[in-house]
Amino acid sequence: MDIEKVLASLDLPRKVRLLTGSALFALHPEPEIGLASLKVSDGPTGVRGAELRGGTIACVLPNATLLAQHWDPALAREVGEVLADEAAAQQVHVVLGPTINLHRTALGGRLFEAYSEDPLLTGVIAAAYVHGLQDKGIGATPKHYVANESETERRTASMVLDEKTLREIYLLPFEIVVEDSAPWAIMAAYNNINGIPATEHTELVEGVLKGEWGFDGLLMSDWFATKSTAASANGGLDLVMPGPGGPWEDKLVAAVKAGEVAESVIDDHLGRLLLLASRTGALGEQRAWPQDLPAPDSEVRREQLRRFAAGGMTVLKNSGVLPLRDSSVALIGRHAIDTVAQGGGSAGVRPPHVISIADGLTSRLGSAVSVVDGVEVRLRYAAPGPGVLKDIRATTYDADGEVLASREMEIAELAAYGGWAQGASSIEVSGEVVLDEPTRMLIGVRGFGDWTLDVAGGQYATLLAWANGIVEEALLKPPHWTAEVVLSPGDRITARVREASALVGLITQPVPRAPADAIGAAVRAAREADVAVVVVGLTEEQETEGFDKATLALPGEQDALVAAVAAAAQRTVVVVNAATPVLMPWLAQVDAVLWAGLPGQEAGDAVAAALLGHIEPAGRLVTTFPRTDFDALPLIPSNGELVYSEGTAIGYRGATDPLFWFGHGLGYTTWEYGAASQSTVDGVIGSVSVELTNTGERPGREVVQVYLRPAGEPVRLIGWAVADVAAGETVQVDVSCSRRVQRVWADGWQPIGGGEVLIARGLGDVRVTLPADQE
Amino acid sequence: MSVPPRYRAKSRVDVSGEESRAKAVAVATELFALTGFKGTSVAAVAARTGLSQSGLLHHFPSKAALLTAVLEERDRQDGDFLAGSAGPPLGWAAFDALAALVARNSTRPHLVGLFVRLAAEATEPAHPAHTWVREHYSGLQRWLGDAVRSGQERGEIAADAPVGSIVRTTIAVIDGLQQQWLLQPDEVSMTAEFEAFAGTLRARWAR
Repeated sequence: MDIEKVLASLDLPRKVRLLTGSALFALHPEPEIGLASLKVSDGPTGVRGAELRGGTIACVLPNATLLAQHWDPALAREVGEVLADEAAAQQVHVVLGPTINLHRTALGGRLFEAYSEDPLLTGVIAAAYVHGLQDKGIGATPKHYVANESETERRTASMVLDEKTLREIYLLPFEIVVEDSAPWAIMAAYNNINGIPATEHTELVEGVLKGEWGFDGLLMSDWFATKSTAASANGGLDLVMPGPGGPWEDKLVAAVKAGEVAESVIDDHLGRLLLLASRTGALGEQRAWPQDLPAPDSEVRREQLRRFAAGGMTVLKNSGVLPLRDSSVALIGRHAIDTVAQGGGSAGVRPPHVISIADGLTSRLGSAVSVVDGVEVRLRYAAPGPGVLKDIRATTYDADGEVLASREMEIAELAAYGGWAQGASSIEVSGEVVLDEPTRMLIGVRGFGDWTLDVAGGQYATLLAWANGIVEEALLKPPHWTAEVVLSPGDRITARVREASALVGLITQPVPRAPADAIGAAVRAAREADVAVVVVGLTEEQETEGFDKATLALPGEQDALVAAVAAAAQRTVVVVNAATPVLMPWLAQVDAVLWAGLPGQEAGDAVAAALLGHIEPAGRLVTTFPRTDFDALPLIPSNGELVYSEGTAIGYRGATDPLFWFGHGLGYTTWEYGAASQSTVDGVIGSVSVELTNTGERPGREVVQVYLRPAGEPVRLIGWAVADVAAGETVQVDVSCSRRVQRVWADGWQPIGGGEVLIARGLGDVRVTLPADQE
Repeated sequence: MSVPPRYRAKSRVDVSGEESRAKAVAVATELFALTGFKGTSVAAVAARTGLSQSGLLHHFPSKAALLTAVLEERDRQDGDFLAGSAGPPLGWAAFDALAALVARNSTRPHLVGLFVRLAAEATEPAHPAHTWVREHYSGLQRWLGDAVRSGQERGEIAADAPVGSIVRTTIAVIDGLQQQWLLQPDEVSMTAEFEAFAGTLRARWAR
């Protein structure tokens, strides 16, 4: 289709109309030119579809850090292919990912969506993922351009960083992904960069992204991010999301008529949109959607998702207790029973199932496993689902009390905005409690609004006012009200809310026991077993879009649980179900630590496979673990500005004596490094070659990491290679090294000189050192 | 993605008073523990909390008031840890709960150090934490006294067990282990030593 001709056939208002979304996750069609409505969908860890909550069932993949911990572009590509199929199954044209912002500080709340603290690793993994998606005809949207490393005041804060830091660190993943995989779209961030909103940053968009790098795709705004009309249109933003509404539409037509925006600018934006439509099969002849794709719970998908999860899990410490060979296991902790599969926020996906670690390990070891609940891990309340409530129903009413719609629900929670309940005057949610005998329960409601609650003959009312205006609270951090009541089998909880905002939900759970009491039970079980496996972790309360963390400590009394079990058990293995660094004050007391990430829907089977050694947890860390909260960079803006004062010394580049280094990971075998050499052309290291021997008793996978420590500049990863080696074998590993991290920005790219090349298993375990300048 | 524009009321995060207060207490706890009461300035607490100095002083008129809040918060958290909403554990369950508390303390050496130093200094009647330290110990004695007597009534603990002595030596063992553990963290396991002590109590007085 000739895009020029198409542009000429539309008048200005019709062209401009197409440049704002038509819905939360869709674009306007224009039948006259054969343009179908493009559908976009969140997600980095699964293709959620158009409903924010309770939508289509889709695969929940392991989170970004767990995938990146493979350090394997081939795997990232396979992930992209799975997501392409998942998108096609829902007739989605464009996936809103990958997230390629960096782990600037471990306190960032949304790091679970982003790959790494290292720009090269991030860029290479992301490029492979984009290829996987786009080779199957689904558009990728690397995001968020740029310097969106934390969530606090994310809509208004200005990230202050010099050009050297931008170029060498935060722009680099975008540069790699644009040059190596040509994404069809990119998303502009909420924040400002040096005082200018990312959605109107002419210098970084027109100058760098579309100019220097030649990006020919579409730049869309993050949702509700666009703050201006002419400035954003002239600054290179192509599409305002979502719609209808926002700062373009009629206002942009007026701006063109007033001469503030040239019509050629509109044509350029629309041309890029039509190119995206053409690439994804939504312009002219429509694409055919495949009908025979594997279901999210099919065996082929489950095998892939187990492998994606287990192979990226990382052995942080191991005295030899792993892989497990013991005859009796005390499996302890709330995360063992209620395993966290994904992070929190808008990108949440509804999986076909989540295999808990208790189910996964029990299905392998049977009665050798005794499962003990641990301490509470959430300060807020999760939506009750099957097992707690049954016959869950939501009904919407109009202002006259007439029923608008009524649906059966999986969980007692729904979105009042952006879903089927939108526009209702009041919403009722109810469910029958699942109990064998009368039990003292904690019941209540979640979400802003004017509530009434009927339960077991009692009636309660509460007004949860939306008081202090924190933007993300309405959906992501709803207020709650609770009471303790005795419930009997058959009792029904019915809550009705008027003037609801984003989220509407029930609370139903047993009254929590005292932490000391729960720990006592865990200690008794640990004494009886050969080995105690304690599963601890974060939840969507810490790892979420919209909020950063105030501490890296595990929530609740989990540290006390581990310490008490470690003092009582013969041997103790800790499994951490979290994506981003936590403090480990008990590290010296335990025998092994398996870093399990947020493993997706097959979580428990993947953890079991890793613990038992059926799949080697061959991951290497993608971020540096601080020892204390004070070692993590603060991220609270001051007067609206967050200064990246560490410059290019992000993560391991500036760390001294961390708890664990970026690149650390023991796997299940041992490695010896032999003779090494490098090949340098024009002062740039092209490749490094090293002899590698698997000195252990199992086949294993090594990630050979090559770092450059130049004179006067921070150390940096310049290349890596994965090698699968049989026990006792020696292989030659060639690591190709990137030019893009062997340069410095000083009014343009300059060569970097001298220093040392390090071959290391993380910078805490350097195996070979070579001078950098041997030709 | 984000929430609807209807809810985009304010441009800056406006943390409520209650949240600021709680955050200031958490920050002060960490700073007192890491750099000591004397070595911590109100300005440092304010900066890390994200408040101005006058904003912090609005919640806490003096550094001593901040210290009292930190200590009260610690007692409140210990109380929640031991008892939850069900009331304090009694009988031998109280000693199991204390063992869990000792394990918890072993994960927070800085806080234990703060407590040990303060408890010693605050025996001085003029110390700002003197009232707190008296109440802390008398509260502990009342609970453990109730625990042992309740154990006797239930028949878990021998009727002739010396209540006052068991209470005071139990507190002394915990305090003494903390002191030694701070000096030799790698050689002393407070948790295992306390378990052993509780074991000897049981062996002597359990019924």
